[in-house]
Amino acid sequence: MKIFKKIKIKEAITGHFWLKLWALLGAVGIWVYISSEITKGTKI
Amino acid sequence: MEFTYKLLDWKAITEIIILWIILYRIFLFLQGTKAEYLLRGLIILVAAFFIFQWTGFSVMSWLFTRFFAFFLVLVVVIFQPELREGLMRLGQRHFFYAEPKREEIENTLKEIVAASFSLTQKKRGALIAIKRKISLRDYIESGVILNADVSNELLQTIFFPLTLLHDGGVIIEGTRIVAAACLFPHTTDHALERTLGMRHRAAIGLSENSDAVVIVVSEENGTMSLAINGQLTQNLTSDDLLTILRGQLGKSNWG
Repeated sequence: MKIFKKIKIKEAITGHFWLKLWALLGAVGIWVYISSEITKGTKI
Repeated sequence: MEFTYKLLDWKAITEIIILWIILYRIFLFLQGTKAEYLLRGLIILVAAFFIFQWTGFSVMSWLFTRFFAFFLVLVVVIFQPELREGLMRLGQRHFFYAEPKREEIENTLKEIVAASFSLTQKKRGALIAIKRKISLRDYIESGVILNADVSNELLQTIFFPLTLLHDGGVIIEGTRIVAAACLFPHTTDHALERTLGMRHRAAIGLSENSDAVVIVVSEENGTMSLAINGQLTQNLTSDDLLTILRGQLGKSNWG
C-alpha cells in the first residue's frame, strides 16, 4: 500500500514536469504582480 | 521582509495554488495544438512588457501598454475555437478530469482489438487512430463528432460498408470514440510499395504528422497493420496488436 502511494506521488511530480513548473512560475508571477498593484492602490 | 511574510500567509499560498492549477490545466489543454505556439508568443510579449516596465524603458513601456488592450481582443479572436471547446468541456464533465484508470485502458484496448479482428474476418476496411499526446483536433473537425464510449459493436457498425460514416477514419481519445469519417493526410513517401492502398497511406500519413497510433484493416486481403511514426507494421495477429498497443499506449501516453 505504501509503495503504491509512493508511485502515485512520483507520477504526480514527474508527470508533465516542465508544464507544472512553468505553470507554478506563472502563478507566482501573476500573484506577485496583482498583489503589488493592489498594495499600490491601483484599480485593476 | 513584510512582503515575504505576506507571501507565506496561508491565503496567499492558497491563491497561488489555485492559480497554479488553473494555469496548468490551460497549458495541458493547449499542449499539442496550434494555439500552443500562440501562447508562447503571448508569454514572450508579456515578459517583454514587464521587463520594459521594471527597467524604465518608458517609450517601449508606453507602446506595450497601449498595445496590450488591443492584444487581449486579438487573443480572444485567435483562441476562439479553443476557448469554445474549453468552455464546453468545463460544462460537460468535472474540470479536474481524471485520466482513465489502467483497467479502463485495458478494456478499451481489448474492444479495439476485438473489433479490428472481426473486421479482418469480414474483410471490411477500417482506419482507427488512437490519440496520444499530440492533439488531433484538426482531423476531428473534418469528421462527424460522435463522443461515444469505445465498443466492439460500435466500431464494427461504423465500418459497415453501407453506413455514411464508413469512409475515412475513426479517432479515439482516451476511452471515447471522438469522431468518425475523419480525413487523414496521405503520406508523401514515394518509396512505399505500390501495393499499399489509400487507406494504408492515410494511416502512415497521420502517424507521420502526429504521435497517434493508427490501425488499418485491409478490405482487399483482410490483414491488420499498425502505423506508428511513419512506419507500417503489417500482417499482425490480434495478440500482436494487443501487445503493441499496451506498450505504446501506457497510462502516461494515453489520450
